[in-house]
Amino acid sequence: MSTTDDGFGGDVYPEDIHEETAHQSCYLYLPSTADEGGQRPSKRRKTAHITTDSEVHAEIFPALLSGQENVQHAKRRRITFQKCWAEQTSRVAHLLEPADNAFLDEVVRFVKEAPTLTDQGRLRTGLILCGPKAGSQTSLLERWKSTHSQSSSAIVVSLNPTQAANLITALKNFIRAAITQVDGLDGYQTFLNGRKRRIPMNYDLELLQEFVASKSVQRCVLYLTDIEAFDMLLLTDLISVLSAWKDRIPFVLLLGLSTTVDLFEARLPRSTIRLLDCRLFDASDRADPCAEIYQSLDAMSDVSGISLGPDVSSILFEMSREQDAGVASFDRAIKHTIMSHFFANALSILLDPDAEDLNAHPELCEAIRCTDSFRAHAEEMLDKGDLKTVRGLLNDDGLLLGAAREAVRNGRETMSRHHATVELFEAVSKVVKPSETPQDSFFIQVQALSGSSFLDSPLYTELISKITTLPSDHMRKMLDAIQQQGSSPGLDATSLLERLDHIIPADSTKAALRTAYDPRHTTTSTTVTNNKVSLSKHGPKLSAKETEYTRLVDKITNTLTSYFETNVVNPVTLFMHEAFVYDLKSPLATVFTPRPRYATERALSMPYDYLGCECCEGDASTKGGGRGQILATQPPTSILWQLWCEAGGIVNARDLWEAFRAIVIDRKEKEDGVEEQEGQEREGGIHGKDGETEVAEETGVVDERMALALFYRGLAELRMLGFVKPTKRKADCLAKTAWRGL
Amino acid sequence: MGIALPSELLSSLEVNCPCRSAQLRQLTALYSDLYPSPRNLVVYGIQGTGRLHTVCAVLSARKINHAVVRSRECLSLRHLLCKIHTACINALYQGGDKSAKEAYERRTESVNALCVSLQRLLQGRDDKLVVVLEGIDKQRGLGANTLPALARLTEIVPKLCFIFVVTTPRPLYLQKAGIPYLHFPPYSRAAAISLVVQSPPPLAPQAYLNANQDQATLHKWYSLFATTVYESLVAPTSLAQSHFEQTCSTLWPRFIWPYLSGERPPGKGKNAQWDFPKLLVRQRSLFQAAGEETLAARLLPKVNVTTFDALQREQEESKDNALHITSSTALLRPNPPPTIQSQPSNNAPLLPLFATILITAAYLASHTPPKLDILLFSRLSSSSRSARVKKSYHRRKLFQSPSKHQSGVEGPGTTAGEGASGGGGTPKKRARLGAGRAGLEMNLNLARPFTLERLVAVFRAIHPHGVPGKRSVADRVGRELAELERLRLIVPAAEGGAAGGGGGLGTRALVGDEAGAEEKRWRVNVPRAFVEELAGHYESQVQGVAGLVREFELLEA
Repeated sequence: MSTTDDGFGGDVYPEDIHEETAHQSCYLYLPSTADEGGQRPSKRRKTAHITTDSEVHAEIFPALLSGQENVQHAKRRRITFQKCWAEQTSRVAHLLEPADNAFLDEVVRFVKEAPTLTDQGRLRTGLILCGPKAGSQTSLLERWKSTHSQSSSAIVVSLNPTQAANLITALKNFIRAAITQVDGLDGYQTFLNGRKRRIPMNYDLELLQEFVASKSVQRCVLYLTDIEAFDMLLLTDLISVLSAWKDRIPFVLLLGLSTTVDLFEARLPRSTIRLLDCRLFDASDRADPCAEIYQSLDAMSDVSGISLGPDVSSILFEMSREQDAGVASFDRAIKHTIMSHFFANALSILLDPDAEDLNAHPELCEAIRCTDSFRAHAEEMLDKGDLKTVRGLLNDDGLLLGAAREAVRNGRETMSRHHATVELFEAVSKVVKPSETPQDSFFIQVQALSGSSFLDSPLYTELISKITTLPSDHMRKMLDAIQQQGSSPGLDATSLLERLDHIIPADSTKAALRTAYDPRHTTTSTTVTNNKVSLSKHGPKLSAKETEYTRLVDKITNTLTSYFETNVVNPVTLFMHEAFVYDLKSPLATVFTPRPRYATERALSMPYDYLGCECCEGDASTKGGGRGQILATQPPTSILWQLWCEAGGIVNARDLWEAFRAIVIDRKEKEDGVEEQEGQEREGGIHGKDGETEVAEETGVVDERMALALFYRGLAELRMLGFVKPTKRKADCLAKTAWRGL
Repeated sequence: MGIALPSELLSSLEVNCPCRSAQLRQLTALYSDLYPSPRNLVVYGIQGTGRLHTVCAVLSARKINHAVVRSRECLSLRHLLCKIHTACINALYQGGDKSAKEAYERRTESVNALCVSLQRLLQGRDDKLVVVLEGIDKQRGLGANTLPALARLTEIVPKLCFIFVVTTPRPLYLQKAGIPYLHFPPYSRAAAISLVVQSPPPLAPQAYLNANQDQATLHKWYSLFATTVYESLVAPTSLAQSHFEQTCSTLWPRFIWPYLSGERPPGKGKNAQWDFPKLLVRQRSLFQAAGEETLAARLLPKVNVTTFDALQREQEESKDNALHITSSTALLRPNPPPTIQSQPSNNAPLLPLFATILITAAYLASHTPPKLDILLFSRLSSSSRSARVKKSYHRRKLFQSPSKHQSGVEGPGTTAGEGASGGGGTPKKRARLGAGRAGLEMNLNLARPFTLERLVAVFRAIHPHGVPGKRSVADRVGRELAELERLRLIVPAAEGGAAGGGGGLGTRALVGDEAGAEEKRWRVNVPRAFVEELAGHYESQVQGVAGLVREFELLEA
């Protein structure tokens, strides 16, 4: 993702020239002579807008606070976002690089070790296990191209299933990509033209052979990505052709697997397997990149970024776990989060690093006063009896802005302390190992955002209770780990270590000391009296050193608990958290997980929620909301859908029609009889939606014919939506193809 | 020169092509200088019998111009014709002189064009040109008449001969009588063993040889070893010579290792020595299970300790471990601890929980007749958990009256009432296909296609926690299904899938106006073991996931 791309990089087209002809299927084309005296129209190229219309982008962030916001503020929010995102992108790239590079080196070594030209033996093949979240592997190959290809005189070509529709296309693309990689596209054409007579087919591997010989290329690597999507017949053919040529072209094959080797092997013919000499490279068990990306976001929050609240974090966590979100889509989700914060939150202007010169904008100040956190803060101050400050904040805009900026700065510091604490927590729990299964760091981080409830969670309490029972050697390791994390106020690992050294020196050969809480200290004695077995537990008998050690452990535990308790916070409890914490569930959850079917079904069963007209609401006031009941005033498709839901798998069209007619015709009679005035209004609601009711309104009756027309149309719409289909099994019947609420 | 080659040339040929003297003599006679050679010759035999090698050796010895075209490298018929033409030109003009360049210009799109081009190429030449078409029966894009047409070329073009190298020709292969056939049979036992013994792999690197061990002993043992391998492993399984060689070279280092590593030979007395029988008894496992492992074609061989260096490393490691097991007993184990390259499924599950349950549902939907959905998946009846009910529907009963169950009334919407998945076609066609195909699919355990709606219903029914309330899960299922389809764990079914397209809610693709329009269908593409293994990862988190397949499937009668 380039840093210039700020998320709004869609093409900005010139004013649509053909607007007036757009609806015509056929028209006479008259080139407009206005632009440049009949020259050809300017091409729609992306390069154009990057240079020219950076001004246009300023308008993309609209003025908030119902349009009252200063335009300059909107612009600055956008700029802050871009800065913020650019920083994040570079950090993510920097983060993922070393892991990729280590893996890449292994693959490159494998390729280099491969024997060059062998008639005997099998085709050298690397199976690259990418895991189902493929996507980071393509970038792997790009990195290879950028770092290794020049030095090692190897050609690296990757083919994906779409480039390999059949064998000829696959080889054609392969040869072209291989030659283009070294000589460029023109070089490819000249190379091809030079041999056109002798080798007329551009899919002939002889071309590549001659090329490899002329350029003395050492390796020719073909990387087939997403191997599951390849046609297996094609793959078999391709492997057989490659292995036929391997004595003349130094091929190395790399196959990118998304599932398992076993599944892939089961789909390949034996004869093909015999052609391959495979080695496995497992890229799937690398550390979860999503967690790392999330962590990198925390690192940013102390510079000019935002923090994510507990709700959003848990959505992101679920996204990385449950759905097969690759790195790219997770990255997009984070970008969306940051963007929506700056896009739709006027307070985010406070995050601008040079927000000092904000002139007291009354709307902004009013917005600050409306926030929940301001109210909570004011009440807190009132409880303290600080009336004067509260009054000042309410009346003086300058004072308020100063306090807000101060709060944002403090909040960010609190957050960075929080993250440091969580890191410490992870480091400690890595050493102490409170449970058998290693704790997931992403999970810990998300949990920690819930603040005080994290301190009651088993995750935390188990760790603390485990610490109390640690023997001295483990305790030393833990303190070392804390020391490595760097010193932080309220936690002096060095002095604790010194005290430990005092009790038992680091190089002591004696057995480790145990605390009084260690269950191994309590002894159980069994006494048999009167044929009854009684178990009794005895308290520990501690030596002087052990007592001293126990006292130290108590101190350590107390220090740690108080440190965690002060520093682990829930960000949404902080003053001015609206400015620097993003914690809105809804756009993130709905944007990345669309639910078309749910929406369609809901719209059909509750048209009122969408149309918002009175008629569909029905007798909401009288009959408990009017939900789930069929009303004559609803759109005919909706009526039909609800009738449909009541029916079974196969419905007689006649029955359906009868039911429909009963409802629709009944409505008219009722309206005519009871309240004509209201009926007119209701009709007015539907009015805009269907044309036929217009007629109905004019005549004032839905007669049988009209009802039939509505029925047909509703049924056709249902069919178009895929809920209904005609069945051959029974005449005059319709079959249900989708069930509600599945 | 006459019919026979000079004896010294012939003997050098026999060294070059061992165990092929009969074929050599036949070929030298056919392509002698005295008599005209046959215009076409069919050389047949399985791969790895030295067909091409022998033919080329004879042609070179006879100093006949010849061109070899490997049809494995030709991707289409046109490509083949072009290659034949190019190969002929290259054979005639070794350098790239001017007339060759001219010749390249000629057209070769069809056999006719090739005929004309070859005629012009060979015009006025006295020496003949033999074109060897290797593996022409495996050529891609070969029409029924192409080979006979090529065979006819030799009648039209003077001085042109073809040799067709094939695997097993049918009678009257080239639709022409009087073509000589030459068979290359697979090597006999003695021939195969002698071939392997003549070209042994490195028997032992010098670094591992002790003072009293020499290559001659090893060589003697190697020939005995090769015989044993042939008898025990290769002869019953394969005729391919390359296979034999490969098996020998894979097993040999492990076989000889006790001798090289200085392990104490069995037997009492100080001067007990290793000999072949002792080694054979010591390493008998190599000719049993471990040997079979090497025979199986696998992408990642289970045992990859096949070189002397790897064996040395392994021995050192086992010494380092020092588990009081001497190296001898460590090696005595029938399967020495195989260094299996671990798969990720051992630690991290391949799919998240939702997708795992979905693929389980897909497996069940594919392997259950839709008629039984109510019986197996309904939460309203207790029957779905009852083994008795499931057993009573044994399979033969299910499919004996297809017409009846085809016309069965579809069930209410509590479960997927999709009815019988009759598929497309006319009722008559369905009736014809119905019983036979459905029964066959069940018996062969083939996956049958299912619709998305049915998958969603089965998913809801089998989810161990249940899908809460009325929350629609179909959208998420659709998303995950796309993901599984990308991984090819679930594939679109061929039939009915063709009619699919866009439209509808993504669930339906009603194309065309008539009822013949088909919904898109999928079927599961993984075996049961895979599904169960995948689900096993989540057993600790969600009770009952691992046993889903067993719980809901139809039992054997």
